[in-house]
Amino acid sequence: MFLAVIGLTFTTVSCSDDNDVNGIVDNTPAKLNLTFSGENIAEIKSMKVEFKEANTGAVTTVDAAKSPFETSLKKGSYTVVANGIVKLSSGEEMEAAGTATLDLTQASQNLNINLIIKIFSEDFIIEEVFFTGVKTYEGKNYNSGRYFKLTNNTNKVLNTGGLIILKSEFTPSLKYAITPEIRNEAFAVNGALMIPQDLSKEVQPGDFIVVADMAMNHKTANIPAYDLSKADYEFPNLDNPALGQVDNPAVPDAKVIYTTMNYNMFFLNNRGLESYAIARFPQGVTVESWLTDYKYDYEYPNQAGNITKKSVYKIPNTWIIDGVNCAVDATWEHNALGSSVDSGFTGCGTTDSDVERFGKSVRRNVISSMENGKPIYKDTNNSTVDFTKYATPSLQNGIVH
Amino acid sequence: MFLKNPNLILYVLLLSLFKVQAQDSLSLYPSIENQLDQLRVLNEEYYHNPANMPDYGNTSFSDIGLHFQNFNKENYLMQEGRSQQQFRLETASYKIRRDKSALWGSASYRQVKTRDVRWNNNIDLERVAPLVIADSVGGDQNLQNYHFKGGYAKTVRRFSFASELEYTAGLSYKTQDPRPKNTTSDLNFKAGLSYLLTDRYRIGFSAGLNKYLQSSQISFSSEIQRTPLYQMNGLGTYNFYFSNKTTAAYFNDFSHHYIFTLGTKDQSFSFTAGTLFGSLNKETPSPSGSNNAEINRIMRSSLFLHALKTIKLNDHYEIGAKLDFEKQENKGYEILYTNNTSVLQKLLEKQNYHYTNNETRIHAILRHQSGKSNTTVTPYFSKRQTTEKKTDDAKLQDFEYHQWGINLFHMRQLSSLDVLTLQAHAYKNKTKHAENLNINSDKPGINEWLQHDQTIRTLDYNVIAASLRYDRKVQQKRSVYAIFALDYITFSNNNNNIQTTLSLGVTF
Repeated sequence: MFLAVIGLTFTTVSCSDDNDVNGIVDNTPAKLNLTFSGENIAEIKSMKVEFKEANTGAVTTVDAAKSPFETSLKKGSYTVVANGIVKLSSGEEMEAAGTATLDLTQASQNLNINLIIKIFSEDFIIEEVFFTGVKTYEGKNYNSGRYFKLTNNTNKVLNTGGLIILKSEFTPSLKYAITPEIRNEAFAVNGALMIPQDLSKEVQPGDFIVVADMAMNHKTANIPAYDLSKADYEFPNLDNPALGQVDNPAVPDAKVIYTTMNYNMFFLNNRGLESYAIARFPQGVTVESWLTDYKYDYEYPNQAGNITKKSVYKIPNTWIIDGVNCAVDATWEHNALGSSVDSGFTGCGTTDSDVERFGKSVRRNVISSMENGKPIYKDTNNSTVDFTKYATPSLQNGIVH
Repeated sequence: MFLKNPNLILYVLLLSLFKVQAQDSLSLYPSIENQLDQLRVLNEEYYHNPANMPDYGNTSFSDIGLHFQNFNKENYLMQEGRSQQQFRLETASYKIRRDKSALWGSASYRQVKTRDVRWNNNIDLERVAPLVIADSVGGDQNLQNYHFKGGYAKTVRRFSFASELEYTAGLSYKTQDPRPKNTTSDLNFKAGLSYLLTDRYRIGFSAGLNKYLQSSQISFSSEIQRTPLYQMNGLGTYNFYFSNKTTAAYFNDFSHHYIFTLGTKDQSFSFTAGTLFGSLNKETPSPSGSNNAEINRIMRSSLFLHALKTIKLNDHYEIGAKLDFEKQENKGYEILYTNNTSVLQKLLEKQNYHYTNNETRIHAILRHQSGKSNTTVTPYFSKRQTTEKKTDDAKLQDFEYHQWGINLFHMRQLSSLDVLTLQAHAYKNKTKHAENLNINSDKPGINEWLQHDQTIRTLDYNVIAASLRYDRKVQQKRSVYAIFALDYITFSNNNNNIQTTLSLGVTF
């Protein structure tokens, strides 16, 4: 009787074990039939497609010279980014990019990537973002001394009046099923910083402006920060006493025209888990009309099974003159900017809260020199190749034009 | 409850000192010889069937001991730590009753400090490896452990029925970032049946269940910097999605085993064969929600066989041999998730990890007993092969070790009140084969760890371990003992590991 009971118990356990192994797949690669589509795109000239598997972090790159294109891939959950040259119906060759997601579980599957023609403007570019800040010599966080460096990468004189610096609503490390999804048409922002027209200045080809949180010399005996006293614009926050920021009356202030943060702050994430863009309002659009007409209400199902609803603002991609996605390799899941603006990402840190990130910035790569000797920066709307991660900040010895 | 109140456990241990029943009236030497019987040690597996416990000893005995141990390592595997200091208080008792029943039990409290543990934030590594939460910083690990065991066997005519319950609880923590807090509970239940075929031979069957849980939560005191935490998959690979995002893991292990035994009451022959099946699951909290996600599963199976036979040449001399064979296989499954859906969802499972361990050992046994001395010599040879594979990445680690050694046990009566026991163990471990394929990582820290451990695993080493025990009768039914032990390990890279142990105890 005793043995019978023991035997029955173990038989039950064995059945349970058998059920656990259902759904196991082998390691045989699956076939993937890849196609590309896009408005006015007649032909694929060259296309580099990157598949990043979420569970292993493995990145597989294929060069797809045509559409359709067949390749083999291990089964898994992928984020797909395509960058390449396409021939338009008009015969013109343009750069294009596209993103897609793929859950590859079958022996053979199809994937179509919708390509979007990249947008390039004859305007400022983001040359550098110093969002990490520095640690004090006591190992504490120093909240100020961060900056944007915007450069005239054209051969004409540009005016700073009306430039808007934007900060993304979505973080690259948290991906939700957002509705409505607007990334291919607009940029969802949680902060906007504007250089007013009346404070405009002209910038010569190759020259740059610095927009700092506080235009002062941040370097002290205890803080290894930089001298930003010669910044062109600043955006100190005087409402939040915890920041301890002060206004430099000699430096004009950029204006926070929108933010979701308390105390009207435009505060950069020191882990770099956000995207940045610069834009200009088109003729006829004012701050007031933008705040009236470009509200973005979105929602997503959360892990608890409920719907989270939020409301921010959006900037159409056609208004954006440059953008850069920042993220951390280990936690990246998606880009906040549409692939026509930036199809890659850069950052400081390979892991979340990487201690090595402090005192590092993201800087655009130099490809050549202008006639006046100033550098020409790489701008392919793919920050993975356009920027250097973990770069030494260009202003660590002060602002020198 | 015991983890929250360490004083309670000490109270129970001390109480057991006075609860122990007085043993049969014996002079000191036979009593100690019975307690330290080397044939019983060699027959250890036979007594895994609790129904064989009526033959465990000729007389009842009890022991309470305090042990202090220090282990300094120049060569060490990073996940196991550089050195270890241990304090242990334990009591054990075996009682034969007049109604043909046997009672046995043990309880212990253990404190261990292990220095410089890296790439491992968990405890019970032999159980949860390779699925640990790893980091490059590491630190000193503090462990408290409580253990209780109790068993009862009853003989009715030719049948013996028995059951045994064992519980172990552990708590470990580190005092610098990252700060893991691990709590474990380990519950074992065994039941057995044996039948006296003849006056000499006993045949038996036993089955058991084991449920093990380990909960690991890792916190950081620094708000601005955190070392990355990796949810490891084996051979230096890790789950990319859940690493760096999660700071906890929950291990749930369930296994069941079956043992067949055949042996003699006088321990001169035993045959034990058994098999074990188990499943270890690892869950971690979903990064963006409150639900836990199962990310790994290891299906375990093992087969073991032990056979011993001794022959008495005359009243003093006995010779024999023992054969041990163990085969262990672990199949690892990785559970892949997708975040391309509205919420994180399980996508598929891949069998991606395989571990095997095969070990064969043969002993020769020579024993001499004179009534005032006991000398047991057991030379042995063992062959062990371990293979670890990751299918997806074509990673492989394969080792074969040969070991030649000898155990010497010598016990001598100095007087009717004093007994001296010397135990020595010397062996040579030779790496006959070492193969590593694609054992590398894109993370420099992980690479350094893999290469370090790989080097350690391929080293040949020699071991000399010796202990001296002195027993002194202090009352009619009570004696005290002191043991000093020294283990000296010399590696082929000229590094040495040294372990010293001091034990003080009372036997009844």
